[in-house]
Amino acid sequence: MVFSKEVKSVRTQTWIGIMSVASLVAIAGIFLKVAMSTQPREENYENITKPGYAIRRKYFWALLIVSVVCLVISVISFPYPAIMEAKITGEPVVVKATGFQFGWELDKDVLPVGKPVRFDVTAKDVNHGFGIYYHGKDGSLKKGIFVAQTQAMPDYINKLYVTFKDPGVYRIWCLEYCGAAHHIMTYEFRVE
Amino acid sequence: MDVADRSMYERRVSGIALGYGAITLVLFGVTVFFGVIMRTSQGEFISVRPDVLYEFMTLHSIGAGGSLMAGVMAVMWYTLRKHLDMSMNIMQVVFGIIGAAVVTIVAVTLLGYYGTGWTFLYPLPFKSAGAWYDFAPGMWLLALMCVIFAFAMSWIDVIRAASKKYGFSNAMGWTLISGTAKPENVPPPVVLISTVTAACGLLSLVAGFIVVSLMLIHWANPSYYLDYLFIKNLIYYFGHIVMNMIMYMCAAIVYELMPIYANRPWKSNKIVAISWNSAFVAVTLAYWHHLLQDFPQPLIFQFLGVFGSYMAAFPATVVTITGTLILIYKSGMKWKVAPLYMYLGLMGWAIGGFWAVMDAGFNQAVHNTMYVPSHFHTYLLVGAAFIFVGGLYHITEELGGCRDTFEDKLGLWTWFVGGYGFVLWFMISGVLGTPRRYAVQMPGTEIYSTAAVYFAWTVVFGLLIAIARYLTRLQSVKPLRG
Ligand code: HEM
Ligand SMILES: [Cu+2]
Repeated sequence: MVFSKEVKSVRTQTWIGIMSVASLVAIAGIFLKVAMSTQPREENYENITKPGYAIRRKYFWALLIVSVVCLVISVISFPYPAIMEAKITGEPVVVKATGFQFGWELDKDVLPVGKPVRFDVTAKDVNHGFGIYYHGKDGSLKKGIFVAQTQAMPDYINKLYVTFKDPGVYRIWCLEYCGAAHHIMTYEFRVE
Repeated sequence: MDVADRSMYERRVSGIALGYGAITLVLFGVTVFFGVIMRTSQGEFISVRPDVLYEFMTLHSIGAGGSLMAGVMAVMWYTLRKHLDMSMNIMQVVFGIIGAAVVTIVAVTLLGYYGTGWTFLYPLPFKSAGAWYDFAPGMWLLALMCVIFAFAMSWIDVIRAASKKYGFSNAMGWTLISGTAKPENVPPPVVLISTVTAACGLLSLVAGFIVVSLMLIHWANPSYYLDYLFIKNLIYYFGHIVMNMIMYMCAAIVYELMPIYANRPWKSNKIVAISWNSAFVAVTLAYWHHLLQDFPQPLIFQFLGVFGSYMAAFPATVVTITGTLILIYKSGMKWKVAPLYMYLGLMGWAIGGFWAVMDAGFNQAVHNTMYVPSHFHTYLLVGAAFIFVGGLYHITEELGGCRDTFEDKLGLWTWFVGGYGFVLWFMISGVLGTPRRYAVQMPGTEIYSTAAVYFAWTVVFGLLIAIARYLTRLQSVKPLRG
């Protein structure tokens, strides 16, 4: 596998995958345990509810703490221009990107590595999704590695900041269903 | 109503639920099958032309989602029959309108080649690049309008009946929250949840009515332009909440039926009331998580969308799911197929729900990848649909004295295994960045679809057995009229 460790979105995706499996296993485990526990019946329901509510209270606080921490992480990793502008240093290279049925127009095909790039993304006809994928140093990586995305909406400009860490071939894939050729709506550019 | 009338009324509502359940379940099976065809094509066992595949996608999503919702609504009527006097005329009218919508949608797909996906994002319906006829979006929107009216009528009737018996603010649980509820007039959970769901759902139907009307005006007069971002907000406020209400109605059903099997009480109290009212708020705020990749949205909405998504986990898991587990623990309950379906359905809800929260929280990484269908198929295919079928099995058990057979169990477990295998492949391909809604998969990602196909077909067998068994069980229910 050609994994660029520097691609943050891949790290996030990997975490989501791990947490998805972990939550599945944990939830299924709890459900299984309770399902196996039904016999014999405890006639006095209070003997169940009392400890049950105590566990529930603990779970509530645990969930609250985890949620607050995650919420903070979510917010500080928001990709929105107002937040990104505070994070980057130096003037970004600005690229105009326009989606249409069924392709993309970019006003630059070669972008710098290691410098902030701002994609001003819009669309001509319907909504599209501007998804950037990394296809390896020489474009030989068949399955792209996801880098970043934003929507491409007519009349609106979505400003997406990306700092490319890896030189090589990148491709845009459409990430909003836009009609019969949505799945082949792709475009290639280079980062050097 | 006197006692005889009451029991007559309850029997007739049960009959409506059973009949309606049979029709929607079959429709559900057929429309799920279109999804299976899609997956088989994405997995490259067969090759469906892309434009046709997108038509299937549209038919599959509106069909499976809509029939499941209608079916769950019918089971909800059944669970409310002892507590409220809902109008049977309205039930039948709802039924009729949805039938008309189904016919229209099928016609628009077969004759008009319509295929926008269920999200019908403006202006795609009117700019198909030649894929469908100009009349198609108009007809499709009219069909959607029918569906909106049908569900609105049903929900209004629930609110009317609940208000009549308990008073609106009491039925919503507000008096429980404020501590002014009279003990003899506390609504049972099924009434409380149904009322909250109906209120929350109705608001989203108003948004649906507005957005469909605006788009119909555009259809009639193309020079009348709409704001793309505003329309997208309305569509998701409508679509997100309506889809979520399927699960909320399922929860109402579980609150009513599980105690019967566990032989323990499940009463409304302050916590239940707070929980469901906060669910109303959370699910409403959470709709903004569909627009997290629209950077021009005001930042506060982005924040609230993420906040609401995290918040939604609280009422669902802390109260409803934990409550079910407590109810069942050492209850002495036997695992008949009906409660097993419902129990596993709650599990699917919990898992799919956690995945949904992660999707919202870290949206940049997985938005519009296969991760999205992975989470909603988890809480629909092995969540809500399980509760729906569990509810139907329960009714046949109660009215027809049906016993579980080997086939009942076989159907359930086949569906379960196939369902989880199927959604896991969506999940894996999603976290590897595979885009969703690709008729032909992104190069290098076909293998995940191929692997999923085996499981999708496993679901077909499980579902077929479950449907066949339900229709068989139905035979033993004595005639309900006369
Ligand atoms: C084995 C059963 C099922 C299979 C094989 C299946 C298959 C699929 C496939 C292949 C897609 C398109 C995925 C993509 O590339 O984006 C899809 C989308 C969808 N499915 Fe299913 N599905 C199943 C069950 C269900 C059920 C039970 C429901 C609802 C109750 C449902 C609702 C939807 C919806 C709402 C979409 C989104 C369509 C869109 O993007 O516009 N599916 N399904
Ligand atoms: Cu597209």
